[in-house]
Amino acid sequence: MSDDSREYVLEMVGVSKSFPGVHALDGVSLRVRPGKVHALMGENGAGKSTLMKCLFGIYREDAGEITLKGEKVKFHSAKDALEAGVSMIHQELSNVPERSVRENIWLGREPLRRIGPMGFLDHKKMHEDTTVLMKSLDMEIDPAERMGGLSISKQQACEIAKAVSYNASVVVMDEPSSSLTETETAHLFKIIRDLTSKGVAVIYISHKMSEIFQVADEVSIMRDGRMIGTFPVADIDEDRLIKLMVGRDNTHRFPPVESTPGPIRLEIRDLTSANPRSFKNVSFELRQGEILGIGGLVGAQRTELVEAIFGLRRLASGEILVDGEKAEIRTPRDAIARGIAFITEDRRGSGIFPLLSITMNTAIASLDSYVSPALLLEHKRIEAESRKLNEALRTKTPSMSTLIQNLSGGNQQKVLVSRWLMTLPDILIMDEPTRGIDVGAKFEIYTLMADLAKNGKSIIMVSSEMPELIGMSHRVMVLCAGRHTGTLEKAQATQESIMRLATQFE
Amino acid sequence: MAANNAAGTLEARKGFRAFISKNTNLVTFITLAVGLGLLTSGRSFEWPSVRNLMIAESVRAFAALGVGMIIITRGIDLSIGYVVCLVASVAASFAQTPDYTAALYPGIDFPLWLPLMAGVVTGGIFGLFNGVLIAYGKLPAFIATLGTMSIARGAQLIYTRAAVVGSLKDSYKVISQGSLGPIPNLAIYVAIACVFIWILLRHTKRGTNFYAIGGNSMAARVSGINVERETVVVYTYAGLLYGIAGCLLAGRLGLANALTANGMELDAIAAVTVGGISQTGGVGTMSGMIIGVLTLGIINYGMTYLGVDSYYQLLVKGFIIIVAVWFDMKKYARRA
Amino acid sequence: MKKLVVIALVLAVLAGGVFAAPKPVIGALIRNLDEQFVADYAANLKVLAAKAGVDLKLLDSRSDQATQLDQLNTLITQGVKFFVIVPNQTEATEQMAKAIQAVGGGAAFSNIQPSVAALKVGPNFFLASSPESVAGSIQADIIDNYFKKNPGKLAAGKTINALFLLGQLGHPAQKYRTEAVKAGLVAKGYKLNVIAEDTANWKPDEAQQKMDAWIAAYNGKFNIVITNNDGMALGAVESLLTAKYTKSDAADGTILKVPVLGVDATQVALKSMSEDKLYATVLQDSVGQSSTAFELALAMATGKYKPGFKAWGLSPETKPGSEAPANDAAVIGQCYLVPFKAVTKDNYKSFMTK
Repeated sequence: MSDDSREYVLEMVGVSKSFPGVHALDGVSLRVRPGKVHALMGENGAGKSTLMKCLFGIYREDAGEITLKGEKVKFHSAKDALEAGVSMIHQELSNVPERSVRENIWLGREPLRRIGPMGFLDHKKMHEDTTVLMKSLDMEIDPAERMGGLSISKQQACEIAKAVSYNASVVVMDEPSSSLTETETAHLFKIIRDLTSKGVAVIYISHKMSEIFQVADEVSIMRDGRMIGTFPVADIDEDRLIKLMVGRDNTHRFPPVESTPGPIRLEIRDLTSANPRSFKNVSFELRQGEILGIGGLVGAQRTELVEAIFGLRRLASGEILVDGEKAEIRTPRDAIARGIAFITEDRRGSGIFPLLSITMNTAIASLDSYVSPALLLEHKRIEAESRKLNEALRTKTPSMSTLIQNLSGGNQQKVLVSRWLMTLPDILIMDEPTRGIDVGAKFEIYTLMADLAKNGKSIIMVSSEMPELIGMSHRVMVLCAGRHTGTLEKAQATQESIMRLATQFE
Repeated sequence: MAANNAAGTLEARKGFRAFISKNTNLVTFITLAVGLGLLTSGRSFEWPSVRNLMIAESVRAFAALGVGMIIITRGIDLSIGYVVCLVASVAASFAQTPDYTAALYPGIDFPLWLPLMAGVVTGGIFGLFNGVLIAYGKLPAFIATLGTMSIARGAQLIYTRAAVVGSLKDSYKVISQGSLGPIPNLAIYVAIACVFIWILLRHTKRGTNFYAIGGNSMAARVSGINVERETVVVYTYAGLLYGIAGCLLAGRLGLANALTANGMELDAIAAVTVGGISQTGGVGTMSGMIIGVLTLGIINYGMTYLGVDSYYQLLVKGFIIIVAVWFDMKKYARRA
Repeated sequence: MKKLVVIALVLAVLAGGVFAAPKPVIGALIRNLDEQFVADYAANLKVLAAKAGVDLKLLDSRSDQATQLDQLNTLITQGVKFFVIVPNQTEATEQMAKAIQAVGGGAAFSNIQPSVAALKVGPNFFLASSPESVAGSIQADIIDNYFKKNPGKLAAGKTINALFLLGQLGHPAQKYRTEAVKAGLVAKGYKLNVIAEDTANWKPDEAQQKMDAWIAAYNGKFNIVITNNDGMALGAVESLLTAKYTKSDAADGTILKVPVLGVDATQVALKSMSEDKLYATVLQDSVGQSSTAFELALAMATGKYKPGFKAWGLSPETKPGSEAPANDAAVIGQCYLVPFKAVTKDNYKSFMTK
């Protein structure tokens, strides 16, 4: 598949790209060896995605050249790249949910059966080819299944199969494990090793340190649109990697959480979802100044539980007490009125208003407090307050009137936190507060949480990252398949103890 | 010095470019107006021409303001034309001269507020109905308003027994046909409505909610916005505006019948789209809507003035709408 | 920016053919060129204008009265004073007449009659038309003749079981034609039983669909199909032919089991009559109406108009008739009535071009 006499299968040399006001890439070079896994790391906004978009011809680089298998190339579209043997698995699924697996895999290049001058879809061949493909990758997926009916991880596997089916010599994977469970991630690594053993080069983009050390051979680190360096994974450790990424020492990944929990603010009694496959009989309490972590595997119904508390999902039974008083929460409005705030895990889907300014994105949930007696909005006060909050959280933005879609993920998250702080909540529910955020910004979010707790706010933090749960929580509550399997005090919370509770299936 | 000057010019040029790309609709309008001025050797700038344009576009402006707000919430309304038609007929039926034997209520001289009231309420009820269907019935806006459109048409034919509702009182007609000095009344009403809509969209919580719902309805719900109620409200507001449009149209024509205002939905939707109200929701301003109305108006007016065949007028109009939407989609295409 | 260039270019190209000429100018405000009659009317106006060396500014309002008002205002701004108008509604004519009177102009109204009040705005406003109801009355006469010749086709008790295909509801031609044919038949002593009636919006395809459904529902229960225009009549004929609703001979003038009647006498309709399909139609004389109106407008524009002027060989009425506006003595001198004609087996050939 690849020419072993050549050292590199893909070389990008001196690639530069600027957008109005931003040097997104500044003379970046990346060299990828055949049959190896090359990790590409860097904070969000470091330029990883821009670099890959230049590779795929989605952006046209201002300077630099790209060489594939010894030949200079310039792709004008993802299709060009695919045909040349470079394919990509996107972070967000890009399939057609209403069509079958086989149709998705062969989309746009379906095998045809010719009858005279007419071409007809060759369903049989499509099915057989898919079966062979799945078998070669050791995947158990029925080619006839509807794509949308598969679990997210299986859909992800199909994307990989599709990428492989182009006989690619380079496969780019952008955060492929972000929605996978541990077992599924392990399987993913097995597939990656199979690919590399066939000579395929894999460019692996991820924020998860542990994965890099498990799967990658080499790692390149980017920061602020520059390439910091490329190292064999064997020669580098986690602390050094983080230091290179953020450009500063980061031995303390978590700030000290100094608050001591006070009286009970929120009490949940026997909460059962209206959806029979979701959570059942969950009880817990949350104290003033406490950070309560909620852990569990994918499918543990953590998000469903907190969304139900916020009035986004229907309940079959159970009670929610705020400050000892029974609260009827049917809609988010009821929850907000009780001083509960909710920072969503799905920033794009249910968080930001992409086409509104930062000011409006911050103020949208608390406009009631900024209406003058003449029923008009008090723009000056709104602007001042949201500026104050965003400055306090160090949101990086050219101006407050910038559209939020132009900010990086971490800064969008800060705006969302500002939004909920503006509602002056007592209880903050934060669902995956640091998902998709770079390391430096994570620390800022953690500091913010610690400060909030110190000021007497109560926080529920849903997280899939064990170190985060252990490092930030006073207590960690663990769910497994919708059941509350245990709560650990800070002293007892370790990766092993959490995992034991998270896998306590009936 | 020279370098400084060059940099200054560059900055100025950049500023000008930014202004143009930000205000494409305004620049388009001005360019068209100047172009038409040249083609008519300045006659299109004379007061009678300007006045004609204002009169011709005023009723459409009300419809455009209504549907513009709906589109900001990422909705659509196809019922405009027939709702305005029904409203005009209802209003006209209460404003006929009492001695007109073919009147719907012969011999009764209704007070002047009644036709206005009846018309606006009718429009409001249809808007409310649309809103409830869409917000609580969870019908797609396209289908719900398609249904309402047919209901309004049926109601109009039943109510008027398919006849022309004519012979309106002069006291009613003057509401639309009168002038305050040189300025036609209709233009004054539009100006008042514009002020209200501007305040609503720019300075009230409700207006902000509309943008939020259009921008990301899920996020709006999570932010505690009552998406259903606000949806009902925006359709109701639009209905009230259609109500005003219908009342004024009846007064302007001095009659109403089944053909009145037919196809107004397309004109209004096209106008606001040209004015930069994005079909992807969450974007748009009052001034954009009005500029859109005037842009289409000047195109209509210009082609009529130049005597362009009506079939070519349709062609040109369609072409311009497509170009406008095409640029709009490019502008707001979400980042990959 | 590109948008501007494109739009400006389009306008510039379209404006290319426009230049001023010191010719008499006549404005023609035309209701809707989609209707065959109106299209024929407009086509004849263009021929007449070319012949007379007149600058004709012809604008189509596409059935929208608001548009027609805007067009009138625009032409007045351009200095046009004399008009030929095919209005959208009778009720709108007075307002238009007042606007024209204000600049000292005049107008002739065709197809849809102006109101008495419109003619009373000034002596320079004319009716050059054939009242719609006459078309209906002539249909009633044709039907009366048919059943007199074929009494066996009537149902018991001198009953006519009719299917009605109507034009766009609320359209004056739909309303007056339908009312007049119904009233005419009752006046002639028939018992009129409407089996079904519905709008087909003037369109042949809609008429055909309606008819398909009716044939299935009322097979054998109707003995005539009456329509508001030829387009719909031909749609109904097509449907009957498809359903084999035919007989072997054409002794009564049609191979269809029931006669179908239209209005307009379009060329396709006449062709259908020559094939014994469509039974009869009524000529609304587009050439007569447009010529009369045009000659009146031209006479005013050139200052040749005097009371009693003969347009297209027609003199104005002298005695008030039964229908508005030609029923008012004060304006009778401004009314030119262009006759309708029954088009039947006996005379259809004379209306065929070629």
